[in-house]
Amino acid sequence: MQQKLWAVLFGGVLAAAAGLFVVAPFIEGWWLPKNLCSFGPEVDHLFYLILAFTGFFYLLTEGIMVYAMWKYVARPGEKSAYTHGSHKLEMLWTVVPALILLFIAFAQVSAWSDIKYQSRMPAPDQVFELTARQFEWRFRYPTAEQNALMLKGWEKGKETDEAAAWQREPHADDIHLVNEVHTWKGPDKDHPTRVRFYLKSRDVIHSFFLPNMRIKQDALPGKVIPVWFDSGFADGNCHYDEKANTWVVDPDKVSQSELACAELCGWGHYKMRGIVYVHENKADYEKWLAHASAEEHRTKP
Amino acid sequence: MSSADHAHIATTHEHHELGFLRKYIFSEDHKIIGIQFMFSGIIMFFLGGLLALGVRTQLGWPHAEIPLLGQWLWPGNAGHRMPPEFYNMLFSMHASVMIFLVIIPLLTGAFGNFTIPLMIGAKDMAFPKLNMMSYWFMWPAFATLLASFFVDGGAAAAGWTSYPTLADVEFAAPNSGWGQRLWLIGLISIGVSSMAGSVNYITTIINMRAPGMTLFRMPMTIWAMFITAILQAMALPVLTVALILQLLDKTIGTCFFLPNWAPGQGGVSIGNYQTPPGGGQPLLWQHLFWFYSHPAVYIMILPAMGMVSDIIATFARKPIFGYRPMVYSLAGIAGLGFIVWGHHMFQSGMDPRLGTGFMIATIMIALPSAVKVFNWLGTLWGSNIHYTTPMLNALAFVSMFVIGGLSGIFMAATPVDIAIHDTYFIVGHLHYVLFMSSIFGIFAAIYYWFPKMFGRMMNDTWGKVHFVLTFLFSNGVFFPMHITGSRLHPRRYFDPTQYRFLDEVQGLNTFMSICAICLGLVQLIFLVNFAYSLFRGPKGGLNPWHSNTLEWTAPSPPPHGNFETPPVVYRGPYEYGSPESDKDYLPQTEPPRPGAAPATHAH
Amino acid sequence: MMAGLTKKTAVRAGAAFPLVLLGLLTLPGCGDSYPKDLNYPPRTDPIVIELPKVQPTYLDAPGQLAHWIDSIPEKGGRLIDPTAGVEKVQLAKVEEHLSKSRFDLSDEEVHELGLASKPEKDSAQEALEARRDSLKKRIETITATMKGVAPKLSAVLKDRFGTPAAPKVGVDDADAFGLDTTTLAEGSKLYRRHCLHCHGLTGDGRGPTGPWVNPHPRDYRQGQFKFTSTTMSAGGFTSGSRKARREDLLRTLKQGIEGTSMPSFALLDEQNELRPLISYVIHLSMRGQVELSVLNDILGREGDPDADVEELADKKLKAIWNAGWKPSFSAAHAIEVGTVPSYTGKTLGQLSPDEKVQLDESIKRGFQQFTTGTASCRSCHNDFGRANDYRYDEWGTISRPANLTAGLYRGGRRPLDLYYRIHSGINGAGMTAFSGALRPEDIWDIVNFLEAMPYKNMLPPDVKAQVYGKGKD
Repeated sequence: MQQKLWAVLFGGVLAAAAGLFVVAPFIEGWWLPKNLCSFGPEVDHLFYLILAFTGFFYLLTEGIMVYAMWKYVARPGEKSAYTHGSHKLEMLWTVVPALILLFIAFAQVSAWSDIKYQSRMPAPDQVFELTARQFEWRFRYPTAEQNALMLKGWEKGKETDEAAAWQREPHADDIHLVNEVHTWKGPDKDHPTRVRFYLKSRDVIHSFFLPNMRIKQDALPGKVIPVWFDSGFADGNCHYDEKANTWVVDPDKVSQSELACAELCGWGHYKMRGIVYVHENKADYEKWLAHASAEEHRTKP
Repeated sequence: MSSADHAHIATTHEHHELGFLRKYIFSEDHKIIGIQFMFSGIIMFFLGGLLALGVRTQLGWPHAEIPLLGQWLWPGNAGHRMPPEFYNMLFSMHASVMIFLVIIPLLTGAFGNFTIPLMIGAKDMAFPKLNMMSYWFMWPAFATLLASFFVDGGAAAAGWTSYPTLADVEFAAPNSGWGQRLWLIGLISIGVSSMAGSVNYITTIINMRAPGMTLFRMPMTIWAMFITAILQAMALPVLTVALILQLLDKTIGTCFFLPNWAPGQGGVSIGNYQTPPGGGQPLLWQHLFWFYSHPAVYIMILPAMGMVSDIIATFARKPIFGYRPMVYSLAGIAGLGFIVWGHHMFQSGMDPRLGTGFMIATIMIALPSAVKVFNWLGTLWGSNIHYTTPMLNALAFVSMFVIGGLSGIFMAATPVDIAIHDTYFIVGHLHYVLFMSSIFGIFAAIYYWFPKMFGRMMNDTWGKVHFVLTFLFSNGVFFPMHITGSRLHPRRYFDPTQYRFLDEVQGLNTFMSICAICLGLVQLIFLVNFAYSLFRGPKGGLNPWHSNTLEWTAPSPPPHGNFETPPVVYRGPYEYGSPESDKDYLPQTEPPRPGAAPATHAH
Repeated sequence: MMAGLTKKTAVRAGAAFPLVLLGLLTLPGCGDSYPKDLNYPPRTDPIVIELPKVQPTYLDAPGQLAHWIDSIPEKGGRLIDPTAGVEKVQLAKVEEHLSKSRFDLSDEEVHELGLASKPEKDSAQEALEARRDSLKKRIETITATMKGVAPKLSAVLKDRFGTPAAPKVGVDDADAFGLDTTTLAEGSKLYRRHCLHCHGLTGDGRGPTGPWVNPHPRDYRQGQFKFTSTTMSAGGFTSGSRKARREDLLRTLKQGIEGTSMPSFALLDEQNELRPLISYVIHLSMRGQVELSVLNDILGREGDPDADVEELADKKLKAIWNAGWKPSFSAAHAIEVGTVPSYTGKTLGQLSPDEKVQLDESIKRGFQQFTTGTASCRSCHNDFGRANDYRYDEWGTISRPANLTAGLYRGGRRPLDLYYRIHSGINGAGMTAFSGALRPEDIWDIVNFLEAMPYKNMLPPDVKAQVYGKGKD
C-alpha cells in the first residue's frame, strides 16, 4: 500500500543516520582525533561504551517504530487492539534501562575524578602557568632549575610551597611565550611526562582545550585552576630547524598538536589557536628552553 | 439541561458587543490570546531562522563574500566581509529568539492557552486579564530585542547564555553595551509574561475542570501543560533575578559577577580599559542562569510530548499505552530537571566533586524519557495508523527525540563531556531535541488544532510535502553535527579553517549549510499553506479528526465561553477502539449507553 | 491553486527545487580574495594636524572613535576634513549662537566654535559673523576643491597602488623589496582573512571592530609606526622619515602586542603568510600616506587648491619611498647597540657573583637616570608608571606612558626591545628618542633597571624601597 511508504521514508532516513555513524570512523578526519594522553583511552572507552548502548537502543526503538509504521497502516473498518498498557512491560522497560543507566553513571566516576579532582592529580614532571586573554594564550615557563625546585617533594594531590609561591610571584628568569605548549616525551609509555599547569584568565572566561589530549578546562577570571595532562602516547613531534633557528612541528603532526579555545570569549574566540610541541626527550626540551630563554634575554640585533 | 441553568448561564455571561480592539487585539479570551502567541511565534520563527541561515552561510563558506548582503551590510571600509562579532551576534540572537520568542511562546503561550480551557471543559482561564497581560508583556521583549539589532555595537553577542565577564563588562565585546542591556530587559519582560501565564494555567487546571474531569481523565496535553507551568513558576524567578543582577552590574556598577583578576589586584582589564576591583564570581551567573535554563529545556519539550501523545492516540486510533506511567514520567522529568543544572557546568571551574553528583542525576533523567518513548511505541503497536500531516509530524517527534535523547547521554557522562563540551556534538544534540522534536511537535499541533482554531483545514498534501522536505533537510543539517562533534569541532567558531584538525570536516560544514538553506526555503511552503488556509481552507467541521477530547465538542472556532452547554465528562480521553462504541472512538463527553457496563481496562 | 495539485506533482516540485538551489550555489563568490571590482574608498575621515593643548582626562568610550576624533577642534586642536563635516558642524553651532543671540561665550565654546580668542562682549556678534563667513567660505572651498581633486586623486592612487584584489606599489624598485604584485596579492587575501575587520580595508584602523577596542588598531595611513629599530629621525606624517623595518613588523605579528587587542600570529607560516602580510601592510601604509599628504597639501592652511594632483602624488610617493621605506629596509640604518655589558642579558641563574654585584650597580645607575638623571623618565612615567596621565598621540587617540612596574611591554620584553625603545623613542606616542642624550652604556643601565623593576626581589634594597616603598609592597 502507498501508505507503507512512510515507513520506508522514516526507515531510510534513520538508516542513513546510523550509516553515517558506522562509516565515519573509517573516514580520515571524521572521527575522534588521535589520542596522545594517558587518560585519553579511559575517556574514549567510555565514549564507545555509551555509543554501544545508545546504538543498541537506537536500533531497537527505531526498528520497532519503523516496523510498527509499516505493519499497522490503518485497515479500513478495523479497530485497533484495545489496551491501556501493561504493568509487566512498564516494569521491564523501567528497571532494565535504570540499571543500564546506573551502570553507565558509575563507570564514569573514576575517570572523572582521576582527571579533574585536585586531590588525585599525580605529581607532575613539568609545571607552568597559562594566562588566557582576548585572544591568545600567554605562557610562563620556569627555567629547568626552577622547575626542578618546584617538583622536589611534590606529593600526589598537593602542590609544593615553591610551586604555589612561583604561581603567585613571577620570577625574573621565567620564559614568556605566546600560544606554544612545550613538553617532552617521557622515556617510555609507563613514564609519560606529566604536565600540571596553573590556568588563569586576564579578562573573560576562556577554555583550554587540547583535542588530542582529551583535556578541557574553562579559565575563569579571578580564579587559578590547576589542570593536568600528559604526553603518554605522543611521539616527539618537533625538531630544531637550523635555517629558521627555532623548533618546528613536523608537518604531518600539526593537526594532532593544536590548542583551541572552547568557551565563547569575544570576537576572536576562533583565533585562539595554539600549538603543542612534544620534544623528543627532556634534553631536547631543555635545549629549547635555554634557547627560548636566550631569545627572551636577547641583547644583540 | 434545565431552563434555569440556561438562565443562570445567560446572566453570568455578558453578551455586550466588544469592539474590534477589545475582541481581537486586547482580548481576554484565551483562544484569541493563544492565536496571538501563535502568530507572533511564527513570525519570530522566521526571524530566528534567518539568523541561523546567516550563521550557516558563514560556516559553510568561511571566506566567501555573501552575495548582495555582504555589500549592503558591510560596505566601504568594512570590505564586504562579515566581522566576527557579527557572527557571534547571529548565533546568540538566533538562540535567544528561538528559545524565548518562538518555542516557549508557541508551546506554552499559544497551545497552553488555546487547549487548556477547551480540553478541561472550562469557559476560559481563571484570570483572563492576567492572561492578556501575559501576552502583551511579550511586546516589550519584541521591541527591545528587535531594537537591539540597530544599536551601536549591535545586538547581544555573548551567546544566549550571556556569561560574565564577556556579557557583563561593557568593553569586553562591542555588543556588550546597549545590545546586551536590551537583551536583559527583553528577557525580564518575557519572564514576567511566562510567570503570569504559568500561574494562570496551574490555577485553571486545578480549579476549573468540568464535572467528571478528574485529574487522571485529563489528556496528556493538559498534564504536560500543567507540569510545565509548575516548572516555569519555580524556575523563572531565578532567571529573572540573575538578569536583574547582571543589569545592575552593567548600569549602576555593582559587581555581582565581576571578579578581581587576582587577590588585591583590581578588576579585569582588556587593553586600556579596566574594571574597578570586583569581588564577585562569574560562576554565580552560571549557577543562577542554568538553574532556570535547564528546566527551560524541559519547558520546551514537555508540552510537545503531551500534544504528541494526544495526536498519536488520535491517529493510531488506540489508547495511549501506559497513561499513568506517562504522567509520572512527565513529573519525573520535571522533578529531576531541577537537580541537574550543573551538567552545563562540568568544565566550568566549579568543584569537580559537584560534577559527580550532577552527573548521576543527569544520567538518570534519561530514564523517564525512555519510558515515554517505549510507551509511544506501545501505543503504535497493534494500532491503525492514519498518516495525516499531524500524525507524520508527531511520529517524527518520537523518532527524532530518540536520537536527541540518546545523544544526550554522551554529554551527561562527565569524562566524555571533557572532550565534547562546547563542540558540535552538543549543538547536534540540542537541535535534535529542540528543532527535530519541539518544532515537529509544534508543526503537528498547528496542523492538528488549526481546524478548531479557525474552522478551516490546512491543505494536507502540501502539509505532507512540507513535512517530507523538512524531515529530510533537517536531518541533513543536524545529523552530521554528531560527526563533526565526534571530531571535537568546537562550537561558536567564526572560521574553523584556522585549525588543521578540522580540515577534513569542513566539507560537512558546507553540506550542512546547503541543507540549511533548503530547509529554510521549505518553511515558506508551510507559511503559504497556513496563510492561504486561514482564508480559503475547506471548512473542517466540528471534529474532523474524530478525536475524543473535549475541544472537539465545541464549535469551530469556539465562541466566547467555549461550550454552548457545559460539558460533563464520563471517561478518560483515550477510548479509541473501545468495544463500548460502534465507532472506533468514544468522546469523553458522550454519555455511556444506558445499561452498558464500562469497558474493563485491559492493562 | 491547492485543489489542482496532485501528490505526484507536489513531490516532484518538492524534489526539484533543492537541485535548482544546488546549482545556484555554484555561482561565483565563493573565493577568498576581495572582489575584483572593489576599490579602495577615498578617505572621508578627518586628518589630525594639530592636537589639543590640554591633555585628555578620560578614555574614549567603546565605539566612539569617530566622535572622539571629530571633537578634537572643540578641544583646541585642528583637523582637515575632506568632506568638510567638521566645519559644517561648527557652522551649525555658530549659526545657533547667532540666531539665539548668545554672545556670552565660555572658553569651551570659544574652542568649539573655532574662534582664535575670546571676543569682547560687544564685539562678539561681529566675531561670530566673521567666523560664520569664514566657515562658509572654507566649506565652499573644500567642497569645490574636492570636487575637482577627489576623482583625480582616486585615479592616481588606483594607478599607483591598484585595488584590494590586485594591489601594487608604483615605484620602480618595488619588486626588490618584496612589494611585487604576487606577494601583495597573497598578502591582500591574508589581510582580508586575518586583519580586515580591525584594521579596515584601507588600513585606517577603523574596521567594524576597530572603534570598540582600546587602544585602537593602528592607522597605517599616517606612515608612523611605534615600535621601530632604525636610527632615522622620527618625523610626522607629512615627511617620509622613520618607518618600521620588516623585522619590527615581524616581531609585532609574531608576539602580538600584550595589553592590546593585537593577538599573536606566530602560528602563521613565516615565509608564505607573514612575509606577504608585511608587504601588504607596507603597501597600505604607503598608499594611505600618499593620500594623506596630498590632501594635507591641498586642503591645508597654506594649501594650493589648484595643485596638479598627479604630480603632487608622485612627488609624495617618491619622498615616502626614498626617504622613508627604502632606507628602513636597509641594515645600514639599523640601530647599533654598542657594547653590551657581560652582566646584561643573562638569567639570574647564569650570573656569577661578580656579575651580580655589577648588575646591582648598573640597576642603581639606571634608577638614577630614571629619576634624576638626563633621561628623567620619571617626568612622564610618574611613580614608575603607576600614576600616569592620558595624553594624545599623533593619531588623535589616547596613549599613556607605560606602567613599568607591570612588566608588560607592548613593543617586546627583550632587553634589545627596551634598548630600541629608549634609543629611538616611540614614534607618534610621545616617548622621546634618547639616542642623542644618552650613551649606549647609560641606556643599558636603564634597561637593566627596567628589567628588574617588576621583580621586587631583584632590586637592590634602597632602590626597592624607593620604587615600592613602605606600604607599597
